[in-house]
Amino acid sequence: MKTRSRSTIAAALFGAVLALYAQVAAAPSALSALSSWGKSQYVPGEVLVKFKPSAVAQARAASVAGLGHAVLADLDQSGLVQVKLGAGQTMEAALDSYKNDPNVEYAQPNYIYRASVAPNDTQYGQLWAFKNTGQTIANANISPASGTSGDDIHIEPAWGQITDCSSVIVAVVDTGVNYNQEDLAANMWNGSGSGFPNHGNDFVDIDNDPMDLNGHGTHVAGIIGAVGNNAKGTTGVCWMASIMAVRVLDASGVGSTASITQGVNFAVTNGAKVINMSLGGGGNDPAFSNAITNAQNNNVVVVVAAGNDGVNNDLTGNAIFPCNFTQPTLICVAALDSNFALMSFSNFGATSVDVGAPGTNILSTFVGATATISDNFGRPGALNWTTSGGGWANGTLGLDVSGTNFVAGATFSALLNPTTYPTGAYANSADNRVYKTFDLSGVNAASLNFFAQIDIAASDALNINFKAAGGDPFVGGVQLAGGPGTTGGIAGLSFDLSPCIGATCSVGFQLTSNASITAKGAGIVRFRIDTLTLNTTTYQIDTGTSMATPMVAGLAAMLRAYNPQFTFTDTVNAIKNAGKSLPALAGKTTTGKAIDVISSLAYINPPTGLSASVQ
Amino acid sequence: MLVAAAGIVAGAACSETLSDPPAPRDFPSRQTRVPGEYLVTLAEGAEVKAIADLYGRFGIKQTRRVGENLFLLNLTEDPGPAKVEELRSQNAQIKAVQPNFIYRSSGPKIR
Repeated sequence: MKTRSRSTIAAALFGAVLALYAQVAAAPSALSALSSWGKSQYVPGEVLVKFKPSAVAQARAASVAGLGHAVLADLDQSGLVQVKLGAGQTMEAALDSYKNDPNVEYAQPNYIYRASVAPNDTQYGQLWAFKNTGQTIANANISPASGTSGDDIHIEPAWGQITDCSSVIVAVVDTGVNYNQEDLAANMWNGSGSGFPNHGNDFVDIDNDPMDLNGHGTHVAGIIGAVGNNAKGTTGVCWMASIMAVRVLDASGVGSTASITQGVNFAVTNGAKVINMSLGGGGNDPAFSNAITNAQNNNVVVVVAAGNDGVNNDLTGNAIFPCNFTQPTLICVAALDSNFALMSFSNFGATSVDVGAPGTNILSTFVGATATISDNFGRPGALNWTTSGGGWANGTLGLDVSGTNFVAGATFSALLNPTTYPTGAYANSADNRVYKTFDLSGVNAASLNFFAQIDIAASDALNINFKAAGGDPFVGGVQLAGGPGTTGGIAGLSFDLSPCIGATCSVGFQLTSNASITAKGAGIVRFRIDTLTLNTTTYQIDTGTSMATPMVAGLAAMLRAYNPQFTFTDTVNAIKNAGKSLPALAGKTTTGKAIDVISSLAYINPPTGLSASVQ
Repeated sequence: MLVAAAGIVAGAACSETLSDPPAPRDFPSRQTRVPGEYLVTLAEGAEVKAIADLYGRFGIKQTRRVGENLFLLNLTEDPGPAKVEELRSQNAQIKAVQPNFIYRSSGPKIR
């Protein structure tokens, strides 16, 4: 016989109570209590009974005594009494009996109320997603910096019920996690018994050290499970958690089907019951889809980001994966601001994106200290990079009206080939090189970032190389990218430069061409190298659907910790169905709702195998 | 040879102005793939050697197992997804082949 879990018992109670309240309409306070607390949070062996005003004292006493119950107290003058049930009598039977009593207006469980709980973490006041008081977020990186009081995920009442999600392993499939971060270390998955002593695995460098060399994954992990109430930093949705670090994206935040499918399968094999993937891209990718199906087959909830392009994922050509995969275990998340408006950058989709969650100005754990080495190619003076073969010069570029193409202008300092770019064409039979040496000593990771518009003929090439030893990176260096082609418009390019760490890292561009046919060449602006030095004490504000996604993953973990019998379907239903309806999400998501933690915690799946009916 | 790893060839046009630009990683996601890399699923009972037999003509840098019956194939010359699929359709040893797609972290939006 199937064991009746807490949730199924509660479901039975819910069904009975629902039937009662459907019949006797005047019970708003009870309904409110149910939706606010639910789930067996009532005094066992007791009910509250509200008699109709027409029921005289003798009739009330007869009703109670006739069921073998006893009145413990008259709670007010209107006929509300606290009743003690007889030995062995069930709550469901009692409520059902009173439902059929013509003297009774309504009956309900005697709910237990607990105070909302706020943790003592030193920066908790900045976490508007958890408690929006309209506070101004320091160092906000996007508007608005302050929002509307109450527009949050209603988690403090839930913390009165549960803060410990450590029974549920949550896999952060991302850039890794700084598992030494002061607010994460205690909440990392213990994989020592499974042969993974560093709290996860690394499918980028193919080793067992998933240390984050980007920062993205550490930020995500902190939203799910930064240690709460430890008088330090921030808190996650879960104060206590079991976070599995699965590194599938490199130091520049880029990964592939191969690394990600391995990561997902690793998480499933090693017991994760929630997977967070704040990533997107791909196309018709059956290997990735199969990995998610495997997760679903193993009862794992998979929470993913909608993407940050501000587009409708439902439209042909806009699909972004894994969001647009269709497995029932997937929850795809859009980003809301602190007024609970859909952020302009957030992707959406009435059939592909499910719920909204806070995703702007989110303070969380970070991987370490970042620094930026910017270079403007010597502007306004002469080009201060080493060149050979000519072709390259510094100059300026502007933007066309659409903002997607370079034109002559003075908006940006630029590296140009030909010198007249964006007019003219590069030379035939060229081997034009330009490079510069940067000091990247003392850092743990580095990434090369710039904007470029590139148009290179099929028989020619633009190469981007580095060389840790310095000097000409096209002699004995390593190629980051290269070949012919076009970016179409301006593209932001990012490369992991970590293998070049040291005092003499040279980075360069090379344009080679044959004796015929040339094209427009290349314009490069906002050249910079971002560096990262690991530490254990940094916190940072970030914005994106990446930050909204772990809000939901944390909730999934909380729900499954609170209801150990919950299947992935139960968990997904509780998140999707119990959210708060928002006009901003109507027609933009499958539910039209923002997540609401306490409502999801109180959500009870429609009971199965019960005969309770609405009359 | 084309070795663009981060979108030089397949990069999509940016829809944002650069007057107040986000970090480069924030540009619209480009649905692209790792040049020269394919994920190959072997037919049941087939041996890994079948991969080399079919695609060896393009030069094989590496074949690495990445899942149950799933292999990451890295080719020296990239024939493109259409050609790779065309060859697969003529060989019963290979159940499926697909590009190794690129994915990026979904943010942070601004740093």
